Amino acid sequence: LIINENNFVHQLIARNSKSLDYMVDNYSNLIYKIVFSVLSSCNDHQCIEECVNDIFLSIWNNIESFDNTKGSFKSWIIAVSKYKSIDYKRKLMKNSDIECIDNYTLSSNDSTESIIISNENKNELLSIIMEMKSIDKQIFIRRYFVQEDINDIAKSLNVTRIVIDNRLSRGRKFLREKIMALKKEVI
Amino acid sequence: MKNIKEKFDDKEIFKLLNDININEKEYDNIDLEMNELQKKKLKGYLKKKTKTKKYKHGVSAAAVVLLCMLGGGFVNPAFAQNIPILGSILQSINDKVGFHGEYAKYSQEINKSVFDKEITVTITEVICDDNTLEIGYTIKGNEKIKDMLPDKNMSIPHLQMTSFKVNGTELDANNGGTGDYVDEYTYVGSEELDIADKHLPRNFNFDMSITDLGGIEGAWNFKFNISKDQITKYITNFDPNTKVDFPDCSINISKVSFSPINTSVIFDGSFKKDRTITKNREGVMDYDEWFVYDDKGIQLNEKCSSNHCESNNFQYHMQFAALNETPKYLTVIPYRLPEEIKEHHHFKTESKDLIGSTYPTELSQGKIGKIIIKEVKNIQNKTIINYTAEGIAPYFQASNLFLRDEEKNPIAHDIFYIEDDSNKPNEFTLTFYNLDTTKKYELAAINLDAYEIREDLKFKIPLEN
Repeated sequence: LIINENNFVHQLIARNSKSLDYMVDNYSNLIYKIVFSVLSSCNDHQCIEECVNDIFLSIWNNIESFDNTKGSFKSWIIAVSKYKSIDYKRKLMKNSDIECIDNYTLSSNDSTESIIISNENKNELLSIIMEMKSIDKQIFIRRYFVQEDINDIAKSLNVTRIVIDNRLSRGRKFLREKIMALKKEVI
Repeated sequence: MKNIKEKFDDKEIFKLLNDININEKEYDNIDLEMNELQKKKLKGYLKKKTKTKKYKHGVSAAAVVLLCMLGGGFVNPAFAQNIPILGSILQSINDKVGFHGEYAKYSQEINKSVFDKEITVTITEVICDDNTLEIGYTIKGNEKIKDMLPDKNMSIPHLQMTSFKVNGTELDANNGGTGDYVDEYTYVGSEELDIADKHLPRNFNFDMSITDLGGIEGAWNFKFNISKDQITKYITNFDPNTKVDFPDCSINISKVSFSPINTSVIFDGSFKKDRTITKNREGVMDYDEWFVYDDKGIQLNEKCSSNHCESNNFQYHMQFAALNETPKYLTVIPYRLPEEIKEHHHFKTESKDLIGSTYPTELSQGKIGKIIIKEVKNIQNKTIINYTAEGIAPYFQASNLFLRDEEKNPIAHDIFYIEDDSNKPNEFTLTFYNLDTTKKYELAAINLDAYEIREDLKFKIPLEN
């Protein structure tokens, strides 16, 4: 079986290791660029390679999370790579005294902005997020899951920072109300 | 209470990431590429991380899995006191875990050393039959090896990123290894390659280049000849073509091979269309753990198994310890520990005090059978426990007996010995060095009732040519 762009996702799901080679040949430069843009300020070449390794492995382990009815594989792995490298950077900073010239806001001191939840059922939370309006949902996921910087989100959606702030605030309110409706507590 | 993100795992977050509209061209203008060496390293890393070779080195590996599930830590012996640097490393390593096999007799001496990055790697010997190629080596550091390893979580100088060539052509084979420290500066190990489908010639030039030892990058390159001439006349191969139907797949046993160092069972198969894939079981058949018996009903000691899956089809190579005689048939009983149990199950144990109990004494392992401790001896600094296992799968049962201290922490044994006398099957010995005499220990047998033993799926592999 020759692995090509039409069958490689299917072959990843089928655990065909040749599809991993295909992915390295065709997507490693893109993933490397993404990781580099997040981690280059850490000045540690080894962690960039480690993070790239980790991204490939987690794509292999979680390939069934990809939904081809919603978008392209390329766009999904860009999102995955952003998420993993920002997460990696956060862990790196937590565990070491490596000084990063920070391009990303990794944690927000603004308490109104962070969402702390208690014991809500995960599936309920997911379904509430999925109920959000498409643009709100997108901004919400990018901010709270990928932990992208608000300015970067604004830039990529071609809007001002205020628009993002407003929509995030709306998203938090939506989440809070929905959870309240479920008689759960939000702090 | 947790931050919202921390509540979800990668699988769930990756699902949410389908809902983001990403500008796919965002990175097009960044002029940055991974070089070929980086890509090669990445492929090597992924290959290592995703291959499904399982090593079951006698009692140690099998028991580690169980002991971890019992919640106890596993204490490693400080040094392997029984592995000599002189003599056959392959024989010592295999003997230590109870595999026997005539390694010393058929090994080819190599003794070639390469020094780089303050480390001398010596390939001491090599042995090759039709299905496996095993390489014995020592690693000697100018400093304490553990101190030289850059990753402090790593304790062993694993042969990473090692490539092999046969007559100049790259050999793409599953490999895995084991080994032990003999002192802080010296590690001895064996690396095994699965060559079952490689059809190597009887004599060939072999290249081995090690570029990474547990994170220490360097170049340790070797070149030597390997000959199978000696061993070949003692290898018996059968092509039984036994077809077996499983709930999730159908298989065909294509080859069974007996050599002075190994017994190999090789089969291929395909998954059924309506198969439901349980978590963590993609690409592997539901019942890929087998109790195998010879024609006298003696269980074979399982060494390891490797498998390869492509789309809906798969191949397996299961390896067992060498047998003294070639049997007329093999009998197989498939079993498994259901995936849903693996994560959460707490195994019950039955235990007896090591000192103060009257021997012989019995420890039940549930429906499968029991362990009979015959004798506990203390000779100098050694504590030797002789026992037998009675039941469906004596080897498997024997590997599920362990020693633990007052805090219920399991103690790693130093030697697991299996009686090599066919008149005394199923007799085992566990040896511990330097037990703390001020502590109380107990012998505990694991209750194996959580295992699903499918006698209804039992089948025979006739061996006639």
